Amino acid sequence: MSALLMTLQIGELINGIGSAKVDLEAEARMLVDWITKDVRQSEIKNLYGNDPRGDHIKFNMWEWNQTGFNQQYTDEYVEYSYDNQTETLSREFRNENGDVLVQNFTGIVMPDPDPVSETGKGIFYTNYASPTDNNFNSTDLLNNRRIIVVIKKEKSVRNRLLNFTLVEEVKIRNE
Amino acid sequence: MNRRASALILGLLVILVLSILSSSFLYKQINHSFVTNRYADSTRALWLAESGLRVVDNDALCDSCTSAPVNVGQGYFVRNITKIGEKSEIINATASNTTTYYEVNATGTVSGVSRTINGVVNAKVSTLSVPAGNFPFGVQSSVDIKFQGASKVFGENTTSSDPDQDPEYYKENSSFSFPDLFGYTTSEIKGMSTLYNNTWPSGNVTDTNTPPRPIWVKAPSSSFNGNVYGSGILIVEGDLKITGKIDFDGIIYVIGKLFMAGTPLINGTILAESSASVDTTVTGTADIQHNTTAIENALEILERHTAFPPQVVSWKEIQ
Repeated sequence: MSALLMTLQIGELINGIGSAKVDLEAEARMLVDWITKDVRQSEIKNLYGNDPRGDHIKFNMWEWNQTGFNQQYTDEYVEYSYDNQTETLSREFRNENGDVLVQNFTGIVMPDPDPVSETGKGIFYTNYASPTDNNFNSTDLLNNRRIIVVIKKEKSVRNRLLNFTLVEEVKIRNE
Repeated sequence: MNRRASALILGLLVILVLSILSSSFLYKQINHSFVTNRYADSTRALWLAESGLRVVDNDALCDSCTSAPVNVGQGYFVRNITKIGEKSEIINATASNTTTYYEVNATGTVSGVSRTINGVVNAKVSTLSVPAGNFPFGVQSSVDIKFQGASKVFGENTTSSDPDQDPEYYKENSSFSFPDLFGYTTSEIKGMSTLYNNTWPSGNVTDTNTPPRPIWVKAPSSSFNGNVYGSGILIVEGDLKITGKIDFDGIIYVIGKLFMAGTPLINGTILAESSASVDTTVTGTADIQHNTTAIENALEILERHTAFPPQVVSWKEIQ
């Protein structure tokens, strides 16, 4: 009987951890997908002009001007800010009515900024070879129109720390 | 007996619990697999939509059309193209660009998962043309022009009902050069022309090639006394002495001495670039009418259009 109970307990533990791991992966994937979808359709000069850093990007939305044949910025914008103290990534969206909608994604665990190597500064990079070999350079961003999004999510389940890291490179489409 | 029954029940319970656990694992795995596959399909759908946008070439562009599904791998893309408008840009007197803008909605679909990109594509056509304003006279010569007989030179602004030679439409001792007027050197034009070597053409000289070419005549030593009619650009390399009949709309350019007698009827312009100090002579019943439209039509032969591959100038995901 005790063997049965032990089997049940272990099964339940593994099941719980497995579920949490799947959830964690799904959350990270969804978040990266969301960020890349936003960033991909930004306009590089506008992104560059809004103080891009490893822990912050902002860009205005735009509409196609049918008479001037060019992109025209609107007051709408998307802003991502990461705070590694609270392990929170915020997405701020100002819509066409002027409402600012804020969404917070918690459990984003990126390393503390390294003042010497400037590695581990946030979730945005222009070069990412490994968690310790990376950097963000806004000039590279402007020249290459390429940004690398790295999300490391962490969650504690039954005294076990689970983490999942997803890296995705995005080519910014609009010059 | 009772102990055996208890063991059996316990065994069945263990099997039941293990079955429930296994089912639960299996369900989670299937669910995880489904989520992962959907994510992969969504990524593929995006790249298919991107393909639909990027592979647009000049032949695919239209005022309004929807492509048939294009199968790629496990999915397909469909694109919808609508013309937005045109922008023209004058670069200089001879060059201009016309850029046409098209809205392209490209949808990629894989296993029922679709993503759509809304893009704007521009197609630029660069045009090199020669302005008719380079040819403001009915007769233009680098030497003196001698009018005799019943010859007439007039143009669009000539008010006299029976003009002889309207001074507005002829210019003698004029300084001009072939490349300045045509935007091409003589050898370039000769290279693109239909050639008559040491023989005068006869009959209709309108070039029937597609696109039409200039007519280049390397003049024989004899005078021209045949019968020629047509339109376009006629260049004579050597002296042109007309004693026959010419009825021509467009531009005649003579790299040599010009003597017009007989019954030439020119609707456009005639130029003589002669290094000899022999006068250009217009006599007989020569009838030369400066006609800008005829000159423009002739210069269309030299128009060169260069179509550049379409460029994506705007990109947005809408679904």
